[in-house]
Amino acid sequence: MSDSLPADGGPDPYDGRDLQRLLSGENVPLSEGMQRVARTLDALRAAPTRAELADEASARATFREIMLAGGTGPARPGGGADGARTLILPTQAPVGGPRAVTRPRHAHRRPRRRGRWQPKALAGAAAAAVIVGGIALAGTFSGVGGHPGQAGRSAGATSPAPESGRSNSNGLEGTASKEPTPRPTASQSTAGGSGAESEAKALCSQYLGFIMDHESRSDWAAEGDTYHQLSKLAGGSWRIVGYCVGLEQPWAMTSKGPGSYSSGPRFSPGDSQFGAPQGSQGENRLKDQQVWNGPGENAGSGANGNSFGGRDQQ
Amino acid sequence: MIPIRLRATGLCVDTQHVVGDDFARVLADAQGGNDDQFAVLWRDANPALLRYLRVLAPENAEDIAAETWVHVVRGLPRFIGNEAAWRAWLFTTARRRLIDQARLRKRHPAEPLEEISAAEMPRTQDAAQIALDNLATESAIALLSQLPAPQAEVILLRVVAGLDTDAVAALLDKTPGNVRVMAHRGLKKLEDLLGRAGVTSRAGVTL
Repeated sequence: MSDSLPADGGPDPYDGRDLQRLLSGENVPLSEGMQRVARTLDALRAAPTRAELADEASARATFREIMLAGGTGPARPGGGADGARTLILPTQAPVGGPRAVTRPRHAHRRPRRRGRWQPKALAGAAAAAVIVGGIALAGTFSGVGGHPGQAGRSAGATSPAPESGRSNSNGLEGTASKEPTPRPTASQSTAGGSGAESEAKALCSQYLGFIMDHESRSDWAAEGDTYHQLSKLAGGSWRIVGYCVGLEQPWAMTSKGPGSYSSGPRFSPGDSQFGAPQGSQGENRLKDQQVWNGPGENAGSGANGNSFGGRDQQ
Repeated sequence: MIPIRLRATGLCVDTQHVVGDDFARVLADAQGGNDDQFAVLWRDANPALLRYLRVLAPENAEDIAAETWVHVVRGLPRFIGNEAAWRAWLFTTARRRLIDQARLRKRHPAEPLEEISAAEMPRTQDAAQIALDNLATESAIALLSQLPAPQAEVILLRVVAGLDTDAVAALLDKTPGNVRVMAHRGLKKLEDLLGRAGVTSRAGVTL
């Protein structure tokens, strides 16, 4: 092996194996330039200086502290068969230890998002439960005046009543009326007076008592009249319960009175434009009997012709 | 106390076995909590660790070394392997701490304090001797710091850590051929730097 490069550049005077031996610390014949490199590498391998060993005491102290803390588990001099070099850090850093491993970037944002959405999700779920429960309740009570076999139909599923040609005449059944819903005026709201209110209260008491009394279901036809009157007063069969509760417990409603229990238009007890079921009372009594003779059909459906007819008009 | 067979100032023929045949017993005792045996391991590896870190992170090499040892001690009871594996594990841990520190400093850059003049530096009685001891090594470290970081790291892992090509390739997640190429380029670059600096043949002292 020559010690200098040829004038034309020529082949490398040392090959890869020589350099590998040089890196390994072996004594290999080298050119003048590479001999300087070799001496530099020797200097890197030189004996440790005092400064490099000055921290032995602190290293020992750290070792004792960590080993005595037992955070890494018992020592196994013989070792085991599991992964040898997997570094499993303890969950709790020792006191005075170094800084913990850095968190992933933007990791601090995730808990905040989660914290913001949790209450909203809970509130949404609660609101949904209340709405579903209310619809189920209204559907149960409105089933008294509903049509048999129509539970669960959507608003677009109109009633197959023989008077289908005038289904929009009063907006009681079927799809929504094209005409705008007349809003009750202040005079209409106050026209009922205390006499009408007491009468409505009496009807409500009678109706609710009948509903609550499970033993006396034999007189459905007689209660049908009460139901229809209340349906008229409340503005729809599905509003009867809320209407009666508003009458009995005004504190449960808003300050606007019992008629303001819904977010829709407010109805006075004497408002006769809403809630009158289509067909004669005899037909509805028959329907009531059919519906109530089959308990559970309307439970949870919340949909019949009357209820959705009244809602569509809003 | 097991005597450490430290390298002489000359060439070290087998840099991968410093503690030697006693390594298994030293390691077992250290894993059992014997701090004397741990000190054997520490005295053997810490100088190489510091030299490796001084080239790649000269500002906080001591901090990273201390952090590396804390991590190593935590994982020491679970370590299984020979001395070569021990060194590979140690330098792998150091390299990860180095990367963590680099990320941390990038996110939170620190303003350096005013530089202390040489006259204000604390002096000890054997400062001259320390300077003489360190001169050749410090000169070599300063020279390697001028190389591109990948090449300097490969040379340091091969020379200072005593790892073979395959171990370095595994540590750096590269192929052995890639490691060899980087090492050869680094040595060539080192040769050029030494030639331009007009270094005499006195072991890199007179840079």
